[in-house]
Amino acid sequence: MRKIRVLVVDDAVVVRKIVTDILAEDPGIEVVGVAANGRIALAKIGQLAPDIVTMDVEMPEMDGITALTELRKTHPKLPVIMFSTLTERGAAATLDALSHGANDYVTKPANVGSVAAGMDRVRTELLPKIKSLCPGLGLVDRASAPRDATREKRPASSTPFLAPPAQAPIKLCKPNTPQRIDALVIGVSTGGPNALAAMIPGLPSSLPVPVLIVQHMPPMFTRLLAERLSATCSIGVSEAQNGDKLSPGHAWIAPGNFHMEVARSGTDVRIVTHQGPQENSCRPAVDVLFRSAAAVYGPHVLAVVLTGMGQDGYVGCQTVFGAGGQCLAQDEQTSVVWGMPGFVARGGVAEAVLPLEEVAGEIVRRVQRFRPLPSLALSHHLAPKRALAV
Amino acid sequence: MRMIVGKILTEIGFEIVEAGDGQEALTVLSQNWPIDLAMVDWNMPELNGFEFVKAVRAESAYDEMKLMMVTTESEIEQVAQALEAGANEYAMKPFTKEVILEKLSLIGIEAVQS
Repeated sequence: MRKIRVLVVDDAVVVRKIVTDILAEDPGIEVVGVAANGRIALAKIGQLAPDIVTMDVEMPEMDGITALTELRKTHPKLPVIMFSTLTERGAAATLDALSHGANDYVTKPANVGSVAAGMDRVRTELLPKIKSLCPGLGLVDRASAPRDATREKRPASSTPFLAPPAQAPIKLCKPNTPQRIDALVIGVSTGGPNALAAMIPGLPSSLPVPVLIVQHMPPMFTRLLAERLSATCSIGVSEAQNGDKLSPGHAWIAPGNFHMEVARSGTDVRIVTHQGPQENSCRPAVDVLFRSAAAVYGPHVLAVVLTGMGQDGYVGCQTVFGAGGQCLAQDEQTSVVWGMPGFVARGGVAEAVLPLEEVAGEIVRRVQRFRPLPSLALSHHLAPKRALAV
Repeated sequence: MRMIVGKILTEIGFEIVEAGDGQEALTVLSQNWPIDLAMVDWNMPELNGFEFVKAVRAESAYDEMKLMMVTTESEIEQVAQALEAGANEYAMKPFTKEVILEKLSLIGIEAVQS
């Protein structure tokens, strides 16, 4: 096993200490150095060749975003995780950092109150992110590791579905009989802000269906993300509010710390936000949205799972597929982390696994199907030709 | 007009994408490529039929697509310009499914189902 070599960059001594101590507990990780500002960090990256960097945003002499911008010129692929504060300014800076090439972010330990809480945050949030951004490194060798009976015991599964093996090949489903699509639901996590910024502008303002997005992010971040997307996309994008009425050609992003569901109310479909229990350790959770969409729209749902860590969205896709709907997953090549879409791709529920740049086009093709007029039965042995009517 | 064209084309086996004006049509075209056929009304807001044909034919990526002008008798002289600019055929309103099928076969498109 080769350990993951981490460089910790932060101007606060206490943060450097907390992060270093926690990371040292993990046998797969080695903190190879610390730096107190961006300028020192750039020098140390050259000397130490870390596998990954954790980077504070606000630092004297050279801030994190400037350092990141410089770093990307020489190290386009080196994973960087930003530390962000849960303030409006912190959220804006984090979104800037992501668009400048940061791979992910975690909430700053100093912001969660006590040192113990901060350490806990690092353990639960930062450790998994480091591991998922350094695939193949820092893994304990199964054969030589001591057997631990209690650890091997699997937790009782909360769902009747079986997860696909982690290294299984892509397995596409046999598509359901195609139905008209009435709602587009999207689940995305790590790498999401950039993926959405690249993908959503490909959806035309005339998109005939509403779009519902769960992006795993804290409050404030989701509102800023919606504002930024709205400025660059043809469809309107807003942070969802409880009771919003769905209409075509508009996208709603689930607010941080709330689940987002849809519910029929008379002839309308409206958004319901609530603080029910986390699912897959997430709120908002993709599974919650997808499940409610399948309940309300039946087979008329197109579900898309984009880049992200973990497996939120996989069970939701099984529900969508089971109800007769359609699922798509982003491919490994273009995903920052191929966790969520990987589960969907390997799990036999996706009709297609696509590079990010083809996702919007595929969505448009699928939602235009059977529109605006009901299609008559087409002969199956000949592919239909496509026409533009102006 | 779009409704009628869309209905006929759907009946004969086309998948349809629609646009409300010439400018939107260019966007729709780029987002839905490949497209085999565009049925273009002469009278469109933003970009009229003639301007649309010129814009499409200026882009070599769309060379394969057939363009059919939809016109009324009073516009027939103007349509001649569109044909010169690269439109493949025209259909005069009002028309039937049979007329469209015949026009399509003239420009080498075999309908999936008639």
